[in-house]
This record gives sequence, C-alpha cells and structure tokens, in this order.
Amino acid sequence: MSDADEPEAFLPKGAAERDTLVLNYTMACPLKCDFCCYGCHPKRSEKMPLDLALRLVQQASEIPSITCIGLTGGEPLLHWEDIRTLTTYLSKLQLPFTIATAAHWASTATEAHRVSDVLTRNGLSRANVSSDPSHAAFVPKSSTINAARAFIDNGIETHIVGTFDNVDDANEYFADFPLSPLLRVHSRIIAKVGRARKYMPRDEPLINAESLTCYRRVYHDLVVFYDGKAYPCCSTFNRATPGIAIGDTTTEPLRDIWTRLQGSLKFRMMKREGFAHLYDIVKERSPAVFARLPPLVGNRGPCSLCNSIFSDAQITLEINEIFASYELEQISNLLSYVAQRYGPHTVEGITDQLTGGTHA
Amino acid sequence: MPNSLQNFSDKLKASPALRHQVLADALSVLEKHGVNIHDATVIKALGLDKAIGAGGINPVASSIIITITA
Repeated sequence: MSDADEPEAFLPKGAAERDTLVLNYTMACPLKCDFCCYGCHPKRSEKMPLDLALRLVQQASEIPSITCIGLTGGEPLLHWEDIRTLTTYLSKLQLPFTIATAAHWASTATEAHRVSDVLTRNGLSRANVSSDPSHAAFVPKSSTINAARAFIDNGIETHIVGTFDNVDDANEYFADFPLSPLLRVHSRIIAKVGRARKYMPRDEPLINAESLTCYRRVYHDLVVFYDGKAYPCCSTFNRATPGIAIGDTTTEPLRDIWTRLQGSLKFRMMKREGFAHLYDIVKERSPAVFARLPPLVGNRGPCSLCNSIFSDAQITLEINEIFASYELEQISNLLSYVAQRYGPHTVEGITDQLTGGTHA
Repeated sequence: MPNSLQNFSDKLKASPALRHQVLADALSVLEKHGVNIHDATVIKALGLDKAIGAGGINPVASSIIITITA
C-alpha cells in the first residue's frame, strides 16, 4: 500500500480522475499551426515505439493511483494501427483513456464513426477535439463537427478546444456544432513557447502570487514523450523546461518515476502551496539563490514562471539541492515527533518497513 | 537523536530514491503503525496541510495545458 491509496480524508472532493499517464505519442501532425507549442508539422516523424507504449500502459496498470491514460501529440490518430492496438490493450487492462485530436480523419460522418466506434469500444472516456480558424486552414471545420458528433453519438464526453481572442468569438465560431450536454467548448491562450515564441503575449491581467500553483493541485499528469522522457505535467511549457524533466522511461520503470514525482516535496509544494511558498523556502535557506530567481510578481502565470525558473540548469541544480536538504529535515522532524509521541519502537517499525531491505 | 533514527537519516542522505519512496509512502506506513495521520504536525511535515478545493484544479493555470483535466 502506498499513498496511491491515500485515506479518503486527503482526497479532493469531486475529483473524477486521479493520476493520468499521458503519452505524447508523436510530433507528426497534419497541421502546422503557427502557435504550436511543440512545433509539430506533417514532415516531423518522431513517434513513440509501440512496444514502449504497451510496456508503459502495462506498468501504469500496476500503479493504483493511475486511473486513466491520455493520448496526445502531435496527432496520435496519424498512427491509427498503433492506436488501435494500444487502446485494445488498454481495454484488456481495464484502463480508460482520453484522446486529443484535430480530427483530420473525420472527413465524412461514416469515417468519423468508424474511428469513434473503435475508440469507444476500447474504453474512450473523453475526447478533446482541437478546432478554431487556425486549425481550419488544415482541417475543414466540417471534419471537427463530424468527429464531435460521432463521439457524442457514442455517449462520449467531448471537449472542443480552440484559441480565440474572447469567449464571444468562440461561441460564434462553434454555433453550428452539435448541441449536447456532452459537449463543452474551451478557449485557450497562446503560450509564448515553441512556434509561438515570436508572438507578443496578449495583454492579460497579471497573476497574483496566491494563484501561482500548478494546474493540478493534488494528482499528476505524468507525461511521457515519444522518446521516453517523462515530465510532471501537461503544461505547454513542459518540454521547454528541462529542469522539471523527471525521468526516462527507456531506462527506468514507470513506478520509480511516479514515486519520484509523488515523493517530491518540491513538486508537492508547487502544486499545493504554490511558487510563493517555494520562494520562501529558497529565501530562508539560500538568499543568494533567491536573489537570482525571476520575480514572483509581474509574470503571466505559474507555467511561464516555472519555465523561467527551471529552464536555468544552474538554478535548477541549486533548488534541487535546497529541497533535498529540506526533505531530509522534514522527514527527520516527522520521525522525531513520532518518537516523542508514540515511542521509539514505533519509529523503528516505520523505518524498518520503509527501508524494507531493498533501498538500504 | 536515537541511533536507529540517525542510521535511517544516513540512508536517506545516501539515497534520493529512498527519500522519495519514504515521502510517497509516508501516510499509509504511518497509519499502519498507529500514527494519527490527521495530526496537524504530521500533515504539515508532509506538505499536506494546504486545503485543496473540489477537483484540485487551478483555473489560472488550466488554460495553458495541452489536455483537458477532469
């Protein structure tokens, strides 16, 4: 048993999913959006080997807190045979999955249903369809409507995701999409990363310090890219932020990487308490490192702040050292408290179980 | 600090993997040994004392991710 089975009192109420393993399956895409965070386009060929994907989802099925698989890219459905094989295996593992797609495959209602029916049968729990005027330069809007309709017909919760200047523009663009309680529309902002580095960010309100936390406050989106490299979130900045890379699934088990993520007080703090508290810890332990951190106020959000901090290799190294000693101190304080309150024999039992002879 | 605790601390210093394993497994192991895991000191040490709202999603950050999180 691990904290994957955390007592109910520690679980956020209303959480539909716990941890998700997201496979960023390919950088190939039929689209070439000029704001793509990963710079995907039709001539890119990077793809996750199918055997790696199968191994990862099998390993994920053995981690109790991973309750869902996410498939994204690029365009994962460019590799239909792989995705069909992978999702058939997911159905055997009884792991539901979500998929993000721009719907190039849904040129007719029949084609849309052919794909949607297989995915639904294999356990699709949610579909994210990208659509906006920029996408329409590569995939007709009618294809995204076909895809949305096919998913909805199959009873799948469907999210249409596009980039618009405002909500009214989005509502007008999506006016001819099927009306359904299963359909939701989301407008995304363009992050200054990938092919969108050239853009000036829109004039948005500055973020207050209390809002500077990761988007998932408790659980994780553990993202593995086509090359096996793992990251702790689905932020558009993830790949551009080497300091948050959390492992390599080609050389170590997914379980070890998940444990590193779940057992990191640095990530726990960024998610639960936020960057302001992380700054407090750094300031207290190393004013010199603190002085080199990007300013907490005046930034455009937690993900861009995280990118500013952890794209600097030296600062990453120094923060990791600070948190290594912070973690040791917290564990030591905790065990000293337990020894005082419950007696040294309780601590001995705990440390014996935690070392278990395997990590000593 | 008792010797056993010192030995354990030394192992943690030598092994980041063990350190993360301990933090990942702490709640369930403590509970198994009869420790009240709702004790304020315990949850503060583990960085779990911040109350998190329904679903645990920060809307300020969620508009910049590549998937939809439930």
